[in-house]
Amino acid sequence: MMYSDVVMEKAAGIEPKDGEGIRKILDGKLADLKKKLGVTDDTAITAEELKKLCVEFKKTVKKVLGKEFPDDPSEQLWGAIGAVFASWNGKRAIAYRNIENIPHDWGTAVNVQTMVFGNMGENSATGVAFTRNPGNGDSHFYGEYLINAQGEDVVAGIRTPSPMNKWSSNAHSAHLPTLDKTMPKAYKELDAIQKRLEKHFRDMLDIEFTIENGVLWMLQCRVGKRNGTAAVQMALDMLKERLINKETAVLRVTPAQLGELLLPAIDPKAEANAKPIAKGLPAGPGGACGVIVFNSDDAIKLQEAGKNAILIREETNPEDIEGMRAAAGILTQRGGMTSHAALVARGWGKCCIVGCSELELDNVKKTVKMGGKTYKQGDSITLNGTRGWVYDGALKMLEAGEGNKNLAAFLKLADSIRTMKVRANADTAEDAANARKFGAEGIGLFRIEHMFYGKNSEAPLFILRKMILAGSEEERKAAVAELFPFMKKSIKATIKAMAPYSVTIRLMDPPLHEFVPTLPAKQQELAKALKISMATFQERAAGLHEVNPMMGHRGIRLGVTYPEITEMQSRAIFEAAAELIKEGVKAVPEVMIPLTCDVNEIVKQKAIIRRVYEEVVAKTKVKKLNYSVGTMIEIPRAAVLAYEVAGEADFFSFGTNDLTQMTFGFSRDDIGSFLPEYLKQGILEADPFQTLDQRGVGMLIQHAVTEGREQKPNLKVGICGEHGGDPESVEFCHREGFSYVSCSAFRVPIARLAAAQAAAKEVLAKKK
Amino acid sequence: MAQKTAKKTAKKVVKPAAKKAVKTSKLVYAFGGGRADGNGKMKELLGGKGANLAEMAGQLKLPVPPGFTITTEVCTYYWNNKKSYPKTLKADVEANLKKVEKITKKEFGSEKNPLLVSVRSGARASMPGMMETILNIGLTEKTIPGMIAKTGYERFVYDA
Repeated sequence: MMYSDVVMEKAAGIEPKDGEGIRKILDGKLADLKKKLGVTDDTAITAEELKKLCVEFKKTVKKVLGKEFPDDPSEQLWGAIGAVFASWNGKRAIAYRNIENIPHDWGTAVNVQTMVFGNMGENSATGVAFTRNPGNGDSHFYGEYLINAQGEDVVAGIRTPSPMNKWSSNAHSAHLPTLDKTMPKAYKELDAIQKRLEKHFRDMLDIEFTIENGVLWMLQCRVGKRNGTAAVQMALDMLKERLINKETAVLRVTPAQLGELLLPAIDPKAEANAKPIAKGLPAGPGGACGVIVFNSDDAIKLQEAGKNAILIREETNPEDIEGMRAAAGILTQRGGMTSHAALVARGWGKCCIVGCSELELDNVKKTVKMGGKTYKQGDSITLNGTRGWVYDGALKMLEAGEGNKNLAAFLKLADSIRTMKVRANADTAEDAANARKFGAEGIGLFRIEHMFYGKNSEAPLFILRKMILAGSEEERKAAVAELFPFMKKSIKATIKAMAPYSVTIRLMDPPLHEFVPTLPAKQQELAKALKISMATFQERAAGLHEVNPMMGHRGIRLGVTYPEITEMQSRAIFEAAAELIKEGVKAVPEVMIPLTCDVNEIVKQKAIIRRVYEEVVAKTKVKKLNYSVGTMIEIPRAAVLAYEVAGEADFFSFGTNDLTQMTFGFSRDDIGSFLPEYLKQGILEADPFQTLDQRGVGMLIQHAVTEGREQKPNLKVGICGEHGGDPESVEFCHREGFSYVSCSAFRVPIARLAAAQAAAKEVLAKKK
Repeated sequence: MAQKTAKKTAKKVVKPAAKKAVKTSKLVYAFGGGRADGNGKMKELLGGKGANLAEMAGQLKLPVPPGFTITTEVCTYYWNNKKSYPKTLKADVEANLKKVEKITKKEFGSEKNPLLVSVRSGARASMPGMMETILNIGLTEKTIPGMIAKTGYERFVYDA
């Protein structure tokens, strides 16, 4: 059956319609026979009946595929070898490699191995096991097996496997006999082998074995996939057991696995009040809430529409891979903890429940019955993949990560290895407090203009608009003075929330016209406040219009044309710091100038900042008010002339969003129309706004750091673009000797790990 | 100085996925019977599965059903040469099959005591279920009676 499907059909490039493949046809014949005989299990069919079925199969193969089933062993062998090599470039293998970033030129090896049989009767068995529990990291031998079965049967999820031992048993398998009881001798041998294997490989292994007439055979071992919870637990345990050193321990948890621990989970309060409508096996961790779909295509469509899908399948197979990827959660009716869905979900850290046998699935009508209620496509459900429970409707979700002791211990370990600091981008006292919870050691980017967006922005925004549309310098200065208390308050609160760590405050960056109101009512209100006619208002607003605002009147250019804006911001910063120092709070503001292209811009701005500083010190009589002035490096010219720029700047902070934009000449907001094609055609390997372009933008950064430090050896260097939380980019920053990376608060743990891994790799490379 | 290092990095990254030349190195690695030609470090050549089978059979002397691994380089050759194999492969596979027959005391295609093999993929990185696996190669009308006689369990043979 298998040979005809894989070798004669697939490898020959025959692509039958869904449900018409040779395997489906043969499966159908087997099902018919079982029905006729009145049996449900394959093993209940007699040899005589099977023999007849074989003849029937052969006839069918010839009829459907137009070819004899090869009866020559050598022909079979070479056919099979060819089929494996051919499958390297099969559709689903290519799709999988694209998702997993596996190079297409690696190729596969072919393993030809003596068959051993786990289906030789009651004294034979086959199973899959892990040296530790891959779902939670417990240090116990864990696995499943089937008596009188072949390896395929365990993974395929057709029969529910039995637990290896008491540690492998769950609610669904508790009544089934364990291997240590049914075959104690083979179990003992296997247990001894798994211990040796783990010591030898120094990692958790995934083992496949077969017992043929009581004799144990090892079919495979490889480093086992695990979820984030298990990865962290194992790393900490193996370090404690001295199986691995701390650098290796830190490298054992991928940033994606760590991310799982920071995944959304169902709010425990909401869950406590909800009754599960179905229970299955917990195959992939975390919570997921979304609408039901019954096939991969619908899951993909929903994801494209920006919605969460819960993919429900009888069981998943490799053809479902893209839909599984697109879904927020996966629920299957069949299959055990080692089934395809479970393996894949665990590898991705995706919320997944398998073997939920109480589901009544109707794929034709696209309905599923759970807990006495019939659900159709589009209905909402919620999954708890950590428990394996399904709930009706959309339960409230939580951001997780807090209160997890292992997570805290692991991150502490990571912190003990990393050499680079991790800061957060934060614009409010709330953000700052939140960032500290995630372990931020300062703010690398405080956007001063943020107080004009979102909550409580009405009042300051109105004054800002008055400032922007002022008709004279006097009017503008009056508005600026009005704005001052708002700015001071916001800066003070944020520095206080982050103290004693430093806060880098970036001066006004966006183009002013961004703030001009578009709603007529708002325009009228503003015109009234400015005591001007609507016509004058429109005239002034039109005067602010720019053809290419992102490269227009923004950043430091505002401070050059309106020095009073720089002056007011500086005063707000220094007065806030002076007040905090008087209150006994440490405050050493770092003033950051945005969008610099020439050192002379810094010279001019610094003169203003210095003057204001002296005025504030004189006024407040605070003696120990220290500050530094640095610049963003986001225009290629500033990077090229870094030696000069560093002469006037105390620190560099790479704004990699703008630097990427200007180095490529790509407008970040307009890449949608061409970047996908660049990726498809292989012109670019990755979206440079997602993953730092180390070759081009990276070379500019490298040049700027080297030149800057040549001028000023202790120059502080950081990054504050989106890339600050991307693990690969963080590793790049470590290699280039950055002082810190700064990213959004929830990425801080990932950046801490990535920085530690970069340092750990260096240490391990030296040891070698 | 700065430029020098910059160039070095650039070079490292620019390097396109190297097209492997067809090497005339060993194409087939045997394992089983307490020894192995390869070891666990040879993942690039033997794939993850093949390398670990070699490690288990050779280094740890665990009970691994004997067999052999055809290298990933043969796969590259296959795709670069219109789905054909290096000339020496046939002889290498036959020689290795003989070794397996010797260890198992079974014979491929034999009527009385047939050797059956599985044929499985194994890339450097795990790709669960993405490529093909074929079991029970060597089971034919001629060898079926031998298998039944050997196992004394007719049902089992037809089950395959």
